[in-house]
Amino acid sequence: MEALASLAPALADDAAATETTVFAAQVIAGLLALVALAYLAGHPRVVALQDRFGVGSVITAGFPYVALGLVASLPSVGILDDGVLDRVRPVLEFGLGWLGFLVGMQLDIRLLDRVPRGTAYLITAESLAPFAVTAAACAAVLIATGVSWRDPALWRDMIVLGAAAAMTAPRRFRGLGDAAWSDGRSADVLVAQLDELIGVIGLVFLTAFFRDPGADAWLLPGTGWLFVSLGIGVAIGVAIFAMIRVPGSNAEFLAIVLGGVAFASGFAVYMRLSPIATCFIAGVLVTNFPNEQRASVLRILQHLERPVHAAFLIVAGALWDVSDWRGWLLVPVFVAARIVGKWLGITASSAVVGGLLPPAFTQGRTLVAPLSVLSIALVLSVAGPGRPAWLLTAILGGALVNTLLVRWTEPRPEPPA
Amino acid sequence: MIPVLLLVALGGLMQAAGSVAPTGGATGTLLAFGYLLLAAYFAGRIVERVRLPRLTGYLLAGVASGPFALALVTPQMTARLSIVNSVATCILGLVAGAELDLRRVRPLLRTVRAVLLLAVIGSMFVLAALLYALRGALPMFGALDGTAAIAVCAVVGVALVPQSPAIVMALLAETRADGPLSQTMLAIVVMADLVVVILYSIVAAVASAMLGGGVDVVGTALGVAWELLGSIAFGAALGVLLGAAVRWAPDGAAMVALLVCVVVAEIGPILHLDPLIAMLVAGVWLQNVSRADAHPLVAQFESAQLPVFLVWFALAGMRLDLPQLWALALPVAAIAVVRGLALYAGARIACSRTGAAPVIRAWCGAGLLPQAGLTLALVAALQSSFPTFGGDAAVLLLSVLGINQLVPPVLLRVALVRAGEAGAKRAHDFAADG
Repeated sequence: MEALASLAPALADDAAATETTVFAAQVIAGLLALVALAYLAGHPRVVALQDRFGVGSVITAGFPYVALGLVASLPSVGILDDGVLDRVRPVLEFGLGWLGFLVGMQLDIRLLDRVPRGTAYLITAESLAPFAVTAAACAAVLIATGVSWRDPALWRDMIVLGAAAAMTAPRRFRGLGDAAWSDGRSADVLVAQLDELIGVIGLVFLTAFFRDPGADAWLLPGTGWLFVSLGIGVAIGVAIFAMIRVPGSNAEFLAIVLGGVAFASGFAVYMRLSPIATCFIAGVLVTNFPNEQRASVLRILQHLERPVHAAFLIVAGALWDVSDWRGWLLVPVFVAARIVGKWLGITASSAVVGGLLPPAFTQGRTLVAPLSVLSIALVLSVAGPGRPAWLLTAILGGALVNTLLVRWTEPRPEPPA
Repeated sequence: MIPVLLLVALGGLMQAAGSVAPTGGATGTLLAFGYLLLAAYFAGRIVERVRLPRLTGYLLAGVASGPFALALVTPQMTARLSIVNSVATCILGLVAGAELDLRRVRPLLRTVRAVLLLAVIGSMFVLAALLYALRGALPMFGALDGTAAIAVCAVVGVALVPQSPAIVMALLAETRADGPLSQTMLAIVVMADLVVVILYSIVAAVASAMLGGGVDVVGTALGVAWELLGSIAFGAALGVLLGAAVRWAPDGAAMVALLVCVVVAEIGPILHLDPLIAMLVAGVWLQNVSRADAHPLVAQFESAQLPVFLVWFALAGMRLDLPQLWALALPVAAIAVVRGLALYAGARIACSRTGAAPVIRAWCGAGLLPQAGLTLALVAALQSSFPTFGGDAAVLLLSVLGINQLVPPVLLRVALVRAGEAGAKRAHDFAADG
């Protein structure tokens, strides 16, 4: 109807018409690229090649989407320009909340009763050591490049980098919807699941104490916002728990799960708190309160995994400013510091609780572990106007390098006799 | 009881959020989306108890939450939800197009043509005449002389007629209706959209000349041609693209289709194309021309369209301006009633003359009564093209639209149930096992 209202200005003006044609061609080319990407992603040969080169993990498998977002946001392509990005930002916020809810939904608190004695120390040591070493190493580099250690933003960014380094993904990890540990599964999965908890806790503190006050009517100290953050998560978790008892079909479950995650995530964003943490708390409550709908909710979350993950990564790619050299400078520092931190953590936990834990927990611990996708979510959740662009480069680049290192360092399977 | 308590809880949480940042703002987009989705769902469950369509509940949730009632959702929050609305329109268009099986519609084409002529175009004349008769009671006429008043009546008369493929689709989905009546209704409302767009552009150009504004006839003709033919061509290209995705990448086809909807919703206005027409054509192409088997894709979209309906209709309800509706209650009621009667009678006569089946003859008119998206687009166009009376006309059109969003869906549901087509279609269950 635009044309009716404006009496076809685009056709009246030759320059505008040319511009429109070029834009239309760009859009068609972009859509064709999208179909080609979908075709390639599902092609058996490509899947086999991914497996061969070890790019099957969630992070590396998602890189084509990040690249698509990056290319679409280039000024010369102009599909995902600043205006569009601003409008689709809620997609990113929803993706963050969805991820937090999914991770929370898979955390059955009862599993903590079944883990062997000493696991808490192992998790703490293997998470805190990479956290501390990575944060310190990256801080040293940034201070060397002229950032003042008195700047609160430096401390905030160090917490983000440290928390991102602390979280690991299992070495053989396909899909976010299958991250719950159960008896018999690799200790890798348990460690990954529990150290994500540490990342989420870090995020709750980060968003409460480094919160942008804006034009709020509520004036609370950081501790106050910490309790507000927890309270919102609990209140919405209870509401979602009540809501999932109403639907009768999967389509209705879809509406409730989408609505619940969007509401929880949107509430957190509106209060300038973390959507990941709020939805994580809600997810933990929903999964741990007694109910018969848990499987249905998880099925919906798993079914949505690919589209939400892809949309989230496309927007992440579009927000990625690759031009800031500091991010690239930090990539090797981040990766190396994380390995050193891991070594310290493993050494400490072996020395202190090695005798208490079953062999599966202490043997085969690796220094080079893939980064959790929650690490990327974490940095995206604090990214935005006025926030440093290099953080995203450091962590996305670090994630990619890490995954490749994992592939190169893991033991080769024995050739068949 | 649980849905009522949950609605109260959601309202309370929204109130709490509003107390932190009272002015609202762009950061509230996702919050508004989640809230409207949930509130509409539970409102739908509540009205279902009193045998009303769930759709009425979705709309009422929007009305109650909107700026003219409880103001839980502010206009700033929903400003950026226009993208959701546009994407939802594209999804509805794609599914509506893919629902149109031309082989099944072909035997009904005579009836469809007659309904378009007698009911849709005929109602434009009836409504224009009614407006002329009511001109003393309507502020938009002001001190216009006879000729100018006729021009205004013609433009507003056309803008009052549009149907709503979205509401018909939503009711068909809700009642799982299928059969000759459902197919005929869908074909008529889809084609009526095209007819109204063409007629509006012609009448608006003539009216503009009559009102002395002067008009660039060639420019208008080119604009309309580009919008219609360009949208159709673009839609056919998208149909080819989606067909390729379905054939070569069946696993990722739904994702591609969703992204196509997002892209079309975004770039449609920039390219001066109508996203609804483009996606309708893409759907028709997929279903009727493409060699790809689009059924799995359409089934996936159909099974997942409930959230789309929830947000789309809740947003539509939010626009209902209750104080304005109250101020114009009498003329608005008269127009809504006459519009309904004219469309219903026109459809009935058309069906009788073309020998349509009794069930189509009896109930086909009910599908023509609901109004939604196209009227909103025409309101925007009218305000922009006719600033002198466009504002007052928009108030009238939106008030009539409000009534036609709330009442006709109830009649349409009754029609589908009485026609025996409700429940005839197997529901595609989202994320079903196996």
